[in-house]
Amino acid sequence: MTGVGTRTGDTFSPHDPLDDEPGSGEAGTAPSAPGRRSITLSPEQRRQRRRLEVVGVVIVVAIGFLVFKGLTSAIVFFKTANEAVAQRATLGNSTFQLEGMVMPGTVRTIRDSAGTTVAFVVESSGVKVAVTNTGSAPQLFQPGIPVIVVGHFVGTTDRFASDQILVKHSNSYIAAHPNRVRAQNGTTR
Amino acid sequence: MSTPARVLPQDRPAALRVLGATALVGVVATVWLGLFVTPPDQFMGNLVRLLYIHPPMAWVAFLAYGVATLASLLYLWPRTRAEHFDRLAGASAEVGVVFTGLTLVSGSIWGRPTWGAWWVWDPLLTTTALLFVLYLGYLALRRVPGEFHVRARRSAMAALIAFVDVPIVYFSVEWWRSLHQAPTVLNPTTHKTYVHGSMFWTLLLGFVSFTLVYIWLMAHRYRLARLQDLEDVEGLEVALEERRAEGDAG
Amino acid sequence: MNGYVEAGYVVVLGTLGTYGVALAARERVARRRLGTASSAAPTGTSAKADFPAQAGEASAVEHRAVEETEPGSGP
Repeated sequence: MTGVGTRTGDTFSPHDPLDDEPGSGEAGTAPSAPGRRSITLSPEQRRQRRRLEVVGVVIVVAIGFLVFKGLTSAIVFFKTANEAVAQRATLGNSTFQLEGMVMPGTVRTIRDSAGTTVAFVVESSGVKVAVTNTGSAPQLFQPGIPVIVVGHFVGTTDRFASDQILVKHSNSYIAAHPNRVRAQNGTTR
Repeated sequence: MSTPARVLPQDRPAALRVLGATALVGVVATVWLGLFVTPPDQFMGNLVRLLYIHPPMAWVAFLAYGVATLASLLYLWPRTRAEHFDRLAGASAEVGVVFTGLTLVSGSIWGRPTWGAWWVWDPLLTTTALLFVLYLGYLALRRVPGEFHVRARRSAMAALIAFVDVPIVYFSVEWWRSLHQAPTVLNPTTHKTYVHGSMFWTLLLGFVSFTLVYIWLMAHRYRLARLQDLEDVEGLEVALEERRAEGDAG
Repeated sequence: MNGYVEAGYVVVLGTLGTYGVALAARERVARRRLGTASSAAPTGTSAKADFPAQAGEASAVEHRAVEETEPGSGP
């Protein structure tokens, strides 16, 4: 997407006032072909070219950043609870995203002088991990739904300390008062 | 080299006006149904109402990039090469960038209350952000000065490269683990939809209405590009003024 | 509702509306300038001979300017 570098020497276009040799920042002298193409780059044009170069650099940097993010964060966006426990030793106390189903009956919200803490257990393929989240849970958090918690294992234990809960939801939408539309066919919430 | 046709595009063709009116009615109906008629979702409650605008934004962005890619291919193929395909590609990509930006923003606004985060580096979100930047790059590249056909060929090739990310975005929810749910409509895995009753019809209307909005915007962007090319032919003074104005507006 | 829904609709409709209005306005400006360009631009190319009728058309555009902003300018 850089593109700024490649130019053809042939600039006989009669309708491109900005065309000029690349990089010749100062007043361009008349190029070839049609005589009326003797152009002096005005400060305005030079500013425009500079702006285009800056835009190009910003975009290239942004593309690089996003590809980097894609390869580092997005490819393995989370580990399921059972995977995380299996990789417990290598994960150490590093920060990662852990996914699991919030087990009904395990959610406790503690409010004290230190703020709000939410404790619960997530489960994936039969493996359970106790999670303590600093801060309150998002609005749609509830037992029985899959969540992703962002944090790390505590010490050498299998307990997980998180500071962010992300609520996953499915791509199904069912009316809250389903007297007219019923959820058949096993679609969940 | 060929010069653009020297006939101004017709002032405001009736077809375009009808299209605009239809699109407007469709959007108003979508908003009315989406905000006031459809029921709340049993899990999301009223937040489900963002369903009627967010997926249509993403769909239109894909559509716009598809059109831009097709037009670029037609430009690159010598037998169909024509200036209007270059303008079509540019117009469609610009509208696509607007809709991609709206996809990101509306998704972010939806994600904050439902997921609990404005943004996550999830595969779908990351590749969509990349899509936005890639096509911004394409639009910037279009502005790099040069002889018409040099510029158009270079842009067309860039459009083909940028489009590679579109299938990646679409299949990312299947290829990688994602916080984002799989698409509700046109799911790459199941090709089924899981929306019930009036919610489904409102979503469908949203898709249709915003597609019409896209066509209207793209048609006007195309006409503008045509006028701008005509101005370039008109001469230096005019072209300079126009670029200055373009800089102010852009 | 809780602000998020409203914000989403406002951002989407507002952006599309603004973009649509801006496109229509730029189209109008470009058309008007093209209409007058034939006399204004001393370096004009051969194209200028083809434009004498444009002044009238440009003013016709202005008369209809009000309705120029159809779909995006939603509710």
